[in-house]
Amino acid sequence: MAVKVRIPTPLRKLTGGKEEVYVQGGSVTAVLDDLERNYPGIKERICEGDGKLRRFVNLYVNDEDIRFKENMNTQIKDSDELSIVPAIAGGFF
Amino acid sequence: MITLLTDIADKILEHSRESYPHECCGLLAGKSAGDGAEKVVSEVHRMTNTNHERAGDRFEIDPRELLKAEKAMKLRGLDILGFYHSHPDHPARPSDFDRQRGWPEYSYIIVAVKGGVETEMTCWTFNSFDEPFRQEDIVAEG
Ligand SMILES: [Zn+2]
Repeated sequence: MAVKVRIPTPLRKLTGGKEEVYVQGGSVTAVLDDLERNYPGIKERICEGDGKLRRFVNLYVNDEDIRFKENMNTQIKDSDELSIVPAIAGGFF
Repeated sequence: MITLLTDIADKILEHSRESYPHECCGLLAGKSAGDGAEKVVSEVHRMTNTNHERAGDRFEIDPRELLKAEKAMKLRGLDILGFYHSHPDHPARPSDFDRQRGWPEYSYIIVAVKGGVETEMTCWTFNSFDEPFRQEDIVAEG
């Protein structure tokens, strides 16, 4: 059993083009650490140096934003899904 | 190169004119080949501009709305290829802020809307986090 992680297009270069990968871990932090072991370089795109979630990245466990749960300590069970969702913004000024 | 099937271009322009003088935004869905070099957009979906204070010169997409749309696309075998947004009374070129907040691999269609009527559409992309935007050719098949 494992946790499914959904990878957005901009980060798929780091997963060899895979849209979904399976890793181990009982919390968001543990899942991201195992993701990094399997796909080196991906964690720095998601987290700051101190391990906090980057401002322009959102993480959802199933349909719940981890910022409204326990952040990086949010528990994850096997069969849960972790989605990495980039914050999309822009404008002419 | 990015190909817009059927009425995709019209839908984007219509949304851009309708939203004037505010910026609109939406997502581009379809399939890509050749490592993302060839994109074919078969669907567009309007997204809410959640930047209410600065809707005139900024846009922001609600991540929850995006996640929901992405999951629905996936069930139909489609992927998110990028996004579109409008520049009311400003040129169809990415701003510094567009680049700052942009993500690699996605295509960004920008629609300039002059006076709410006249439009110009361009598309931009970059491959890695340290690269500037480069223009992508748009082919509209309708
Ligand atoms: Zn813009």
